[in-house]
Amino acid sequence: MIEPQLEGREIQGHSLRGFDTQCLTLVGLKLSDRDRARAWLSALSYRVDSLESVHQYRIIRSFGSVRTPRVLLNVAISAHGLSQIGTDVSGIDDGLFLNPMGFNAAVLGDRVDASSVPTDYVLGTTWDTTPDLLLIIGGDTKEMTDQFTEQLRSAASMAGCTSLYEERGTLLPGEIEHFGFRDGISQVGVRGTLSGVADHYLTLRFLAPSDPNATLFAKPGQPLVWPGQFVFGYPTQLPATPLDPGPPSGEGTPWMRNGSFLAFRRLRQDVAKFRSFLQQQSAVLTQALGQAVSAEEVGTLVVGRWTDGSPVLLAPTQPNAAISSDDMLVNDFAYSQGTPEMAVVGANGANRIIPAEPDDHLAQRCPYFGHIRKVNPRDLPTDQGIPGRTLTFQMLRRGIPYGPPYPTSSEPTDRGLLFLAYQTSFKRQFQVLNSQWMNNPSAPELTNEGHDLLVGQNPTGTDRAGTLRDVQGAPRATIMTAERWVIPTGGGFFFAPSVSFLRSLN
Amino acid sequence: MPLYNPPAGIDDFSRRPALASALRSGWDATVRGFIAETKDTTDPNLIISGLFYDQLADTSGVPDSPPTGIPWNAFPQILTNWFATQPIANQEKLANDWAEKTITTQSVFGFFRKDTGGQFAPIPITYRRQDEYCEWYVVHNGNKIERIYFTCEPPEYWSFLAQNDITLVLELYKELLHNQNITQSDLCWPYDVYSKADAIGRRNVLFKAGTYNPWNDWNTTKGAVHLTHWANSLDAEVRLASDGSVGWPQPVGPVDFHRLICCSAFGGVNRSSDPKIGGSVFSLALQGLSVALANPIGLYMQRFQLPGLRDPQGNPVPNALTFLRQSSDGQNILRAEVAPPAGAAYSLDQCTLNGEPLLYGGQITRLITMSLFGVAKRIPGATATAVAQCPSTCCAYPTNGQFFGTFPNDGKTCAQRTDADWARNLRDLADIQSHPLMTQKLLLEEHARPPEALYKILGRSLAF
Repeated sequence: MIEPQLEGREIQGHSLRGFDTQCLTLVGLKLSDRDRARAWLSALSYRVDSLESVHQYRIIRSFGSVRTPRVLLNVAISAHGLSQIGTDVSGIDDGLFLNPMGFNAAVLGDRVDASSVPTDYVLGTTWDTTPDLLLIIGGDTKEMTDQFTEQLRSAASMAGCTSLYEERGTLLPGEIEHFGFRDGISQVGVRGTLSGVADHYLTLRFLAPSDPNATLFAKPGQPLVWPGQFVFGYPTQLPATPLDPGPPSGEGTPWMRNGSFLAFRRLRQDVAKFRSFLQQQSAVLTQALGQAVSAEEVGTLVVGRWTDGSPVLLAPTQPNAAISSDDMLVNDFAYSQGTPEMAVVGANGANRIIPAEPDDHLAQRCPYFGHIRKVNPRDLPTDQGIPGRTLTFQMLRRGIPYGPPYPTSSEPTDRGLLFLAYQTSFKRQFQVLNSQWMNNPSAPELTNEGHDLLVGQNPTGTDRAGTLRDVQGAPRATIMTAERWVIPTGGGFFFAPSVSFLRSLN
Repeated sequence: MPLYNPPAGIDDFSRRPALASALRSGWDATVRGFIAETKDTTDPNLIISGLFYDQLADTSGVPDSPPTGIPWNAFPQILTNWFATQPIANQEKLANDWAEKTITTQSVFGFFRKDTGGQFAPIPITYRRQDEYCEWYVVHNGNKIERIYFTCEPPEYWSFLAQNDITLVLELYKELLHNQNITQSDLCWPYDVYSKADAIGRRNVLFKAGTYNPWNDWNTTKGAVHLTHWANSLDAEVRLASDGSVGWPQPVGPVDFHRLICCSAFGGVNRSSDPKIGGSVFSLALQGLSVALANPIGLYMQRFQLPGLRDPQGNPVPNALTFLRQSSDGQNILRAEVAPPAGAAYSLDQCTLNGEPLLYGGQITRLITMSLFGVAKRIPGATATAVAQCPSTCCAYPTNGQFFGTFPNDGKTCAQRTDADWARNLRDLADIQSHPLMTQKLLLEEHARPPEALYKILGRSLAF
């Protein structure tokens, strides 16, 4: 099996590699003058950080603190923005991309009024309130990020662009999100090389070449996925034959080659409400199960991980620092079959054996409604078919928290997550995970298994619920709520084009 | 004594007060008959499961667990798999397109009639290739889409109704299809229907002239009232649940659903439904639990909303979706209909769904989650019926690794499977032109061979 060589100077780096910078500012602009906008975007192409550039940045940064701080830039354009600059988007068969997010707010489960107009959105209800252009600015320091943002704002203004939206995300200590859970642990590994050298992989491979899973996983818990799932023009993932390259994405639209779709969702988090829920349900579960269940444990059931990131499947009674601090262990679990023993290449070059882990197909550790189980059932058969199909729904998540940590002296405060996810089909990836699984209490495993109580919305407006079940599937206890602590407040669907696409706009 | 209720507890019987009691007990007996046939000791080809039980007849005294639902997506995954190697941009359209093309075959069901010369001639039968226990029909008026029907009602129920009161069936057809011009004769066989000849040339009468024809035009080419695909039946659901609880030889540990269905061939390997249903049942049986289908036994659309339907002006169409037959709590849906509101000056093809033009019923079907419900319990003394060797095995199609066929476990390698072997797995795809390995002629010849299991089911359950 030969993995494709990725065009590292063409693909923007935020998609396949991620900036992972301390700060990430999003600037949403409206275009008004087609020619000036095109010229500016073309010029901007020389400043955009490609996959190669971001990859180098990440490698240098991984060596430690001795480095020069940097600011990284990527650009994404909405369907409306593409039309504004003269690109024909009619060949794109994706109803989410072709409309402002607000148009499909009800489909996404977001709260809407009688006319299906979203009630909580601060951007993205219509094209007028959706950025034509989204600048993604990652910086090592707040000052650098702000300074560069100001420069871009000024340049944008000269190009006839007006500012519609601007928000800065900042990593929280411990890379947690606002509810306190470590975030971003689980990501698929993208197949592909960065040069003509066969093993110059984009995603580092930790499994020993002799390990039977070495062609399927980059490291324990990180399956390898063909890059066409995330960038147009490359082979896609086939459900039943993960080693075989599938048909390339984006055929028929050559201008999309090396570009990605980007879903941006602004998710407000109500930390006080979430914590209150955990406290209330602690009492409910304590009574229903006849044993003490702490609020922390309720949160762990809702998420599927302890706050430190250790998965409840591997650490059923308490957080386990030995697991959460070990990259080879923290994601090494699978619900249906468990995980096999794997050999990874250790720091000293000798193989390290990662032990086999048990399954949890009866959901006795991680409940059916657990967030990480709902959105990524891993090796479980689902309502959508064989386990391999689940990999075809996965996205590359690049979200970052916004707003100050909870609490501040002036609560309530607007805080949450700038959810950013790259893919090549909104309807076959984002929408399946969002609408078919996260918001659906009857999938992927059991009818009435429950909602994703962390992030999932209930479009019907009735209570959201999750049920703990015994090994026979009989309910043991149900937690439910009418409250929401993740409130989608808008966003948009964008296309992050190749560098040469931008350059060609001159 | 409790009775098995009609699917979703639907209350058609009270339309005929004089018959209602008899209909209730008659349907109960029909369902019990399906279950009893999974215990038929005279059938040499049947593996009787020691862990499958009749929920209402069980005398163990052990209480049932609360019903648990098994979900699957309603869109025919066989088509998704078949087109998986086509260009990405074409895959969905191809699957949507073919999903709505009915198959007409002279004898896939093995039905014959006597012609004027007294010779037996095969009867053309039309069915839908929508094999996930959910079928739909798009009502076209020229190029316009006027409405779309979705049904998951088993054919046995309608045959049962017809056997007892064909006028009730006619009444329901008229209501459900919004057509008062449908006649009783439209729904019935115009001639006696015979089986294929047995080894010594004998044929049975499967349906008498004037009895209900489940594949009548109003249920196939002109509408949809109940399921028509040869695998979409209540009997198949019962059999699948029974077969799933058999002790198939599987590696120790959690169940690999794909491996299990390849071993057992208890259903279609390319479906979303059968591997999920059978595998879920087997997982319970592995724990020593006995399983039963929950009363009322049925197959249901479980979750079905269309918040993304917009009219040509982009306005939401809140009342386009109607559930015409469902359980009293609205949870289990048997029949749904999508249509513009009364008086609307547009048709569905002018609407958008989730931001895309609504061109196919399949776009909606992809959003439907199906379910069936089972119960489980530990019955003292009940043990799984052990099967020593897998009767079946799977091979991936030579030019498409996403599509599988099942074959007798006869020791042949996948490379040794002939075109004829493969043709048996391509019955519902016979009219799709692009089979890399198969001539159209070979496929159609295979298509004309009735599947033995189906023939048995039809002969048993539909010839009332």
